[in-house]
Order: sequence, then structure tokens, then C-alpha cells
Amino acid sequence: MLIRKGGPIMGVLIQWETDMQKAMNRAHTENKPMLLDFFDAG
Amino acid sequence: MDAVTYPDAKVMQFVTEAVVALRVPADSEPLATDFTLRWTPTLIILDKNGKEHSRTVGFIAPEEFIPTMSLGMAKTALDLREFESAITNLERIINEYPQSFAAPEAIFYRAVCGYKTVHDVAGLKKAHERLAKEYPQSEWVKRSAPYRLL
Repeated sequence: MLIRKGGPIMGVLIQWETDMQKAMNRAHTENKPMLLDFFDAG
Repeated sequence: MDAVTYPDAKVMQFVTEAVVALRVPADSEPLATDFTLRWTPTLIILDKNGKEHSRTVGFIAPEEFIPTMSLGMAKTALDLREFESAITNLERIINEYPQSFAAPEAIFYRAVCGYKTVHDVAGLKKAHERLAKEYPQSEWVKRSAPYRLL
């Protein structure tokens, strides 16, 4: 998996947001709920 | 999740289309404290304003991911009294994933939606009868037990 600091994570083909405020803005714009995944970064 | 579930084609499509996906490390503050994180993986369904409505802890296999997330989305919609959205998500589970862990609870909440939208009392009793017949080992048989008296 490639992780890019300060921007979306590309987990294979899933585009993950890394910032809550950006995710909320998208949720409002796209009228969708959010999925928050806490993961163990090791 | 990274090795098995997220690479699954159906899971990828579902996440892309149904939710805004947000991923943070378990030690990310203030989110870890705000959401009282205890273990990973923890997946939480939030509404558009960031309020939690459902969470799961532990690995979710690809075949359980869509029904599990759909149930979380249904609970979110139900909390917000967005019944049409709740019913859509619940019926996806019931019709497309009847063997999933989420299916019995989806039947229960589908009946709850029926009661809340059109006061369908008979639907509550039918839900209990269906759960007892099709999912006799499910806890939702007992949770719906009072409805057999309706």
C-alpha cells in the first residue's frame, strides 16, 4: 500500500482521506456517511 | 483488512460508492481519544457531521464487509429518521446477504422501520416469526420475542 503524507491514501484502489475535516466536507458535498478506519500502523 | 478485505473487488466498489472513507493510525490524536479507541481494526460509521452511529471491532472478512457496513449505514439513517435510506440498506442485507452475520439484525430493524413509518404492528410479529424459523440461533429471536404477543 502506498501512503502519501498530507493527502489521500491509495489503499489499492480505495481512496482514503486522512483528514477528518476534508472527509466531512466531502461527506456533505457527496451526501454520504463516513467510514472511519483506525488501523495499527505498526 | 489490507491483505484480504480491502483488495476485494466488491469491497472496493462498495467503499468507493457508498461512503467517504477516512483512515487514520490508531495513535492519531485527538481522534483516538475522541472516539475512545480500544483496539484495531475498529471501523466506525459516522454521519456527515462526524457523529458516531455504529462501530465494529476486529477483522471483517470480504463476504461480511458489505452487509456489516450496510447495517451501520442503516442505523445511521434510522437515527437521523431517514427511513428510506435505512430501508434500502436493510433490504440490501436481507435480500443479497441472507447468510451474513448482519442478516438477523437487519430483519429486526426492517420491522422497526415498518412500525415507525406506517405503524406496521403485524410486521414486528412477522419479523419475530421469520427470525425464529430462519435464524433460530440468533440473539435477535429473543430480542424480538415480545412481538409474538402482538
